Amino acid sequence: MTQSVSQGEQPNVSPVVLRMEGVSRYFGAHAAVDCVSFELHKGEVLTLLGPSGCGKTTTLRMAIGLERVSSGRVLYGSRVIDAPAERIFVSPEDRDMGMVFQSYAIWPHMSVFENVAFPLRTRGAPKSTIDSKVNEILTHVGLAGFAARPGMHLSGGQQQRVAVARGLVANPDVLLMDEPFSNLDAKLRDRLRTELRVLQRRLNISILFVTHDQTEALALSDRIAVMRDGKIEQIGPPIELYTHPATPFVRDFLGQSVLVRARIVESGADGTRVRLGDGTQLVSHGRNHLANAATEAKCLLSVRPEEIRIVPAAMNGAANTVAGTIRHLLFLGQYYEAIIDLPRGQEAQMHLGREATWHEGQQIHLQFPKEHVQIWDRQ
Amino acid sequence: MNTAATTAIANEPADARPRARSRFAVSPQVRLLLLTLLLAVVGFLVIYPVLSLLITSFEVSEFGQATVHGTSNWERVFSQDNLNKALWNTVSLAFMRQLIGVVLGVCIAWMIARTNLPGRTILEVGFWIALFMPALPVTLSWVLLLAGRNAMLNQLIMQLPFVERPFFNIYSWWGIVWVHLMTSSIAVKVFLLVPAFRSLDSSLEEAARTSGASIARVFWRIVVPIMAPGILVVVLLSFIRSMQAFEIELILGAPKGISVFSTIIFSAMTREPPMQGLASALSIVFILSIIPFVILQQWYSHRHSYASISGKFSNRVQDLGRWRWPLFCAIALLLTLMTLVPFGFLTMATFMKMFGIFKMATPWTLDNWLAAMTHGAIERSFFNTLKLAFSAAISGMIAYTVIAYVIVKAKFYGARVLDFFTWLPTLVPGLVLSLGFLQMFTGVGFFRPLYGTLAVLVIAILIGTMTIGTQMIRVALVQIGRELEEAAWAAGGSRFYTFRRVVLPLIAPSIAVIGLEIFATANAAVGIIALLGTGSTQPLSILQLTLLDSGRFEQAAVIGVLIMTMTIASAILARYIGHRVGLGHQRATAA
Repeated sequence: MTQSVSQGEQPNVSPVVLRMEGVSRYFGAHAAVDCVSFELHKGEVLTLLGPSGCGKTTTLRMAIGLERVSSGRVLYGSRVIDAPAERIFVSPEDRDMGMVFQSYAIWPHMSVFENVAFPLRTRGAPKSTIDSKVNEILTHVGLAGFAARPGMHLSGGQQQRVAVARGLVANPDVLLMDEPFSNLDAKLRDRLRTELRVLQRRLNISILFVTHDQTEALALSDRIAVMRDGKIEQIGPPIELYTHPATPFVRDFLGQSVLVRARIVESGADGTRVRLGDGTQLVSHGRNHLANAATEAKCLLSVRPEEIRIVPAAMNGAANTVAGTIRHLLFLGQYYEAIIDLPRGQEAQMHLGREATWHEGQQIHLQFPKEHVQIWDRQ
Repeated sequence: MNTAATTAIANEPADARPRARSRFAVSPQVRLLLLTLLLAVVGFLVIYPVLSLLITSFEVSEFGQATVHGTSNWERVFSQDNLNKALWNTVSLAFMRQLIGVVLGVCIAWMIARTNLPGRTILEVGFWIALFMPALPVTLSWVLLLAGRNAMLNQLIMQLPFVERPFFNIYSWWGIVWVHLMTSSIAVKVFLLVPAFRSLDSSLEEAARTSGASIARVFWRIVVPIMAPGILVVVLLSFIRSMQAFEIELILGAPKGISVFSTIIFSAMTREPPMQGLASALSIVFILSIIPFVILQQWYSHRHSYASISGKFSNRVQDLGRWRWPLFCAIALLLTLMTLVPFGFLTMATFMKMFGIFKMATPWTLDNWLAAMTHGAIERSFFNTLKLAFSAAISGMIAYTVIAYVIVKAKFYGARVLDFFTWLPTLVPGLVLSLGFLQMFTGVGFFRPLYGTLAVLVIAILIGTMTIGTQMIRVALVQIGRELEEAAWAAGGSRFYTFRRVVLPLIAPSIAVIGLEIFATANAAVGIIALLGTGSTQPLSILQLTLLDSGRFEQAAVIGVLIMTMTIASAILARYIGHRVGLGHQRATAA
């Protein structure tokens, strides 16, 4: 396929702080992580996104050294920290990274202060440094005044902040975060996500983030690496992944799509012309992922539902439209949620605005903007 | 994880900053060597005594003569019908105790865990104390109350009209059953089953109540069947323990010729000259007869791990209705018989010239205590007991923590074997272990200097308490969320630093509880040191056994009161600490 450089993608000139080079991890014969490579730049948030069991957490644990790589190399700055071929392995405590665990792992027998001071103590910092740094970071995460609180008397959100403070207190070059918001309720999650982004920008820290939540990934990341079955499917800025997914998996994992079966009519300089089952012809200027775009080749069209414009049936003859009938309509306050019957038993699920009145059984036309229609192989 | 805290880093100079984390780094080779050494020592201590018994059982020479090998010990073992009687008594006594114990234990545990029984927290503590009640002093107090015509309780009952004969004689088969029920047979089941019942989802019970079942029916048709696997595991475990019992059978059975396995071994050893070979052969038969039950217990508990414990469950109590107070009174009475009665009457005995005889001009006296205080042997034994209990507790806490940590955390080829070794002592009855150690410490040249010192007793106690000690600390270790440790490594803590700052503080309460349990065990231990603690190292418990044997009940009572006081004190302290751990652990795992 042809990968064009899209909006927002500039080569990152900041130094690389963490580099995974063809890293694999086998559990028995099963490859939990299969030849994964990426670079994390200074000041960047890179998210490993994927369903559970895709190898994202294992990748993170290999970065800190809680798992050893089976093959490949891990570099921290210019220093090789794990490379079985060279018989090099630096244990986690010597890596000088920070990590926030999914459970937060706040030590219940220590106060907030002691929890946060721990990384400094292991590094033999003098008492005055410890006091000032711990207080500084606690202020940053909004926990000033909580220093003496016992570790077990904290709410979920407070535990998360303590975990972040502990991860950052020793000024690591990288902060690793393993699903740090998954144990919080939705509202708190949104707030802490914003706070983390603000803190990250202010301190210019690099974060390697793991999540299965696409909203979280889109909101937080400078770049996202979508993982599946131990491999990286696509890596890039959120907008790039969303608008130009490289694989069906990425397309379906990030956001919704309306999918319509079609056949190629012709491919030319003016985009690709396709024909739907009922004879409707559409033009696509979006990416064509087909290996074989010959005439009559089967294909699948995809459009993000929010790109589709609804045109009243009366305005027949508008360009690039597909006929549909509203089958189900749910009023959800801000908008309607609709399931629309398309030709040949296909359907689209999308939101309809409140600017018009809709009813079930209504005939409508869906206009697919040419540049947003992508063509895929029909598996 | 690899502990090689500072594995070579190519091309990169080690960090120059002074670090807490690199101070205790040990090279992988040294670490492996240390772990292997630990495995070897533990293996030797649990295996050699039994091996030694096997060898001795083939030595047929007379005491003090040159060693001759032969099978005559084994021929004697199997030609005795003594053996059959002992085997039958061992099994039947254990069976009867378990039968009564399980019925009462299950009912009481359920009422404490699941119903609105008044004062159930206090009652639970009561059973905890009962579990710790030392067997020998309790036996003594029941002897004073129920032994024949002169015993206090029997006298009282004979004053009733129409009662001509003593009501009950403690020197009997039923007497043995009774004293066992009053010490551990019921208490251990309550102790083990209450937590299991607590984890039962009360909606299961409520569903039955709303379907129209009475509370008794809910108990028998719902609760007991669901809990049956757990109950059976506990019963099998106690059955094995019962078969190994020693001192109660010795005191109460011997006068009536009721012998069990452990007592015939003991009598073979205390004969003049001691019949080591025969005792050893009997010991091997004894172990072999226990093995099937251990296998059954292990097999069954692996097949049916405690089921029905889900993450979310409600724990509302069931209403006992008008039975609340009658049941409370019954259980309180039982607890009184188990704790206050033995303690009270034993204390009373220490102040009487002749226990239970009030018709004298001056029945009360301080002579027993004065004699005890001035009696050289008692004073020496008292300090022996203190020294023994403290050194066993301290070395046990360290040893079991190390072993449990290696089993749970270390990537070590022998971790599973080590785990197996810690289970082995449950197979071997205390008295048999005592005999094995006697042979080890007298027979192996390397150990001979230790014989006659307190160290021998300490080692015996440590092997005896090893299973529960290691396994309790192991459970505490497993309960610490893995991420708590990983977070410390990620934050820069070495293995040792992490252990000291994170793991140890979290398991410290469990270790303290284990320390107190070892302390209590060492205090009251009889069987496991019966053949080792003689002469200058004799602790209180063995001195009490000797005094009882020669019929000096009042002085034995003084010792009994001392032992009971120390044991109950450590039980209460352990309970207090353990209760606080329980909460701490829940939080730690929830975090």
